Amino acid sequence: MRSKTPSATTKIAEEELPAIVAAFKEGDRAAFRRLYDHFERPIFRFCRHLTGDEAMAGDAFQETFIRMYEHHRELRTSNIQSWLFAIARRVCLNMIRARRRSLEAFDEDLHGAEPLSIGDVFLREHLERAMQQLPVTLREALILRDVEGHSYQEIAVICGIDLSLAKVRVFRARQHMRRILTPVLTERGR
Amino acid sequence: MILDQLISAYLDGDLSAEQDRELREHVRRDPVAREAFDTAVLIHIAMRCEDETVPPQHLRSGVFDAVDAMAAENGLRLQSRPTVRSPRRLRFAATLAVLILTFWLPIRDGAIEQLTATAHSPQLTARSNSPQLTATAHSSQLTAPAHSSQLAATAHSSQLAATAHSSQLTATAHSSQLTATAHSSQQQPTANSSQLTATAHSNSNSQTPDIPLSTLFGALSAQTMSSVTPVEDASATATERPQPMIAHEAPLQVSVATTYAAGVSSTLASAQDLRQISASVAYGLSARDAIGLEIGTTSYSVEQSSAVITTSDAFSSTMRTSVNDGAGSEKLASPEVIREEYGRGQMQRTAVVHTGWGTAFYERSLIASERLGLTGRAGIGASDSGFLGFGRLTGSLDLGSGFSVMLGAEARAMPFQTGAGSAVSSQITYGTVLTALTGLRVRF
Repeated sequence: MRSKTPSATTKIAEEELPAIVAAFKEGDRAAFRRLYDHFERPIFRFCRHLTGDEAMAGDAFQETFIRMYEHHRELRTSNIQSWLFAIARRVCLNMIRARRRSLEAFDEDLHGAEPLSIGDVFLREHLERAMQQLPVTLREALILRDVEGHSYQEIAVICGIDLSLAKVRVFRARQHMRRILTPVLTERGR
Repeated sequence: MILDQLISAYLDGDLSAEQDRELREHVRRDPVAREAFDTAVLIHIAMRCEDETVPPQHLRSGVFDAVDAMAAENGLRLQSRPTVRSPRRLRFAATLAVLILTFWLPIRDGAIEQLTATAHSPQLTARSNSPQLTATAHSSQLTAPAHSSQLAATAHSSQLAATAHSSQLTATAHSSQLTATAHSSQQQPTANSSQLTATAHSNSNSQTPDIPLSTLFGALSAQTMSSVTPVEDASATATERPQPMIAHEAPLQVSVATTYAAGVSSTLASAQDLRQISASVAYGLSARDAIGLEIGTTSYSVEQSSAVITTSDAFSSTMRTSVNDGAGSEKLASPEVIREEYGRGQMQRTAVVHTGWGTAFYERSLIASERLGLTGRAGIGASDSGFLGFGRLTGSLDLGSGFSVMLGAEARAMPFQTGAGSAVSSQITYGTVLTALTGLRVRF
């Protein structure tokens, strides 16, 4: 899996991680801050891609880390990354569901057409829009695999599904993305 | 393998050499396949392209402020209520203790001050190591061996066998046969029946077996086997013909009980105010043992917490809470109201959780007299949240006509839906709850 998040100053060395996780499980706030620095970018990126909304992504991002600390005693697995992504996923899905349930009329400017400010790149804008057109189950699998670089096994753990289903979802998500973006890329190529 | 699968495997780096050749062949020969491949690769590269977006700083401060507040609050809570999170082994030990108590009491026959046993069934066996045993049988057979200081056994039935290794034995039979054996200082067997067999193995000069004078009606065999002093006088009285059995009831009983239990203590601070209603059907295997099924519902209050974002950004729709405006209608609370009320980053609320359950149980009568009884019940089963088990001690008062009221206590290990509401923490946590219960039982 690629490692793309932490800067040189905040990155936790692989051999250092178990001790920090152990301290975090005891409620050590300094350890929590180290883990926050280590995971803030991938978690924020994941929340933003999954929700497709900057404000909601910020809410989900905060709630994810608050819950992470709130339930530090319940961390059983040694893979804190999967655990944290599982929390972020649940938080995002709950917010997405709540948004659907709300009586607000769908705001096309807010939720659809407005591109996210992640760089003024043509392809990336359309990528973001295309991802938001995917069903949530496919979207989360695609983000975890192709954006965050998780293994299929990790995706299965995070999403609480079988390994084979994780592969199927990523496969279908890629098909969907290609179907959505092919006309755009063809038009761009002309 | 179809083209899409080959492309996906290529993106994952999982292509075999043969599949690699197959994909290259597709791309080389088919322009549509080439376009699909190029598009997929382009999308893949774009998605994996480094995204240097950093979360806004205010999110960081919001998280740390909330965590600091949470840590401070937890510290206060731990100081004021040290048993909020009792160790798991303590909960396990409490449950185990109740279960052991439930089974241990009936197994240790008569390890109590006084045991009174009454049976309307074909056979009663009452064993006692306790100071006093009173056994009355309206049935065909009574066997009452006692290693205690005093044994009084009365049978209105066909056969009575009473053995005492204790200081005093009183055995009275209004039935066809009485066998009374005493290894003790004093024996008083009386028979109004056709046959009396009384044997005493006394080993004391001063405590010669004393069998009262009697008139024999039918066969009498009275014998003492004292090793020191021979029996000087032994007789028995039988004034009437054997009496018919007074009562003979089947041991198989069906009872229906409804109980209402209220929690008095819980190992989970976040699950309180437990209420429980149950109904059970029992099938008596003997005068003391029964098995059955019990179903019920349990409700309890759960403290739930959810994070509230208190940063300067607008609240998301999930944080907009309905409030009553006092006129009976509801409206959305403004972000300022929520921010003011839950400004510490966490919102606490109480929710009532209802759960249904069913168990199979084993029940044993520990003490039984004419109207009062004490029973132990242990059961295991499942609810909609997971497995559960309980041990229960119930005292009962017979009201007549098969009705009895019950009062008891119960320890139950069960799953609670605890935690912080909506997200990852809405989970199942096992805990032990002690309850006081009252109920009504009908025996058929």
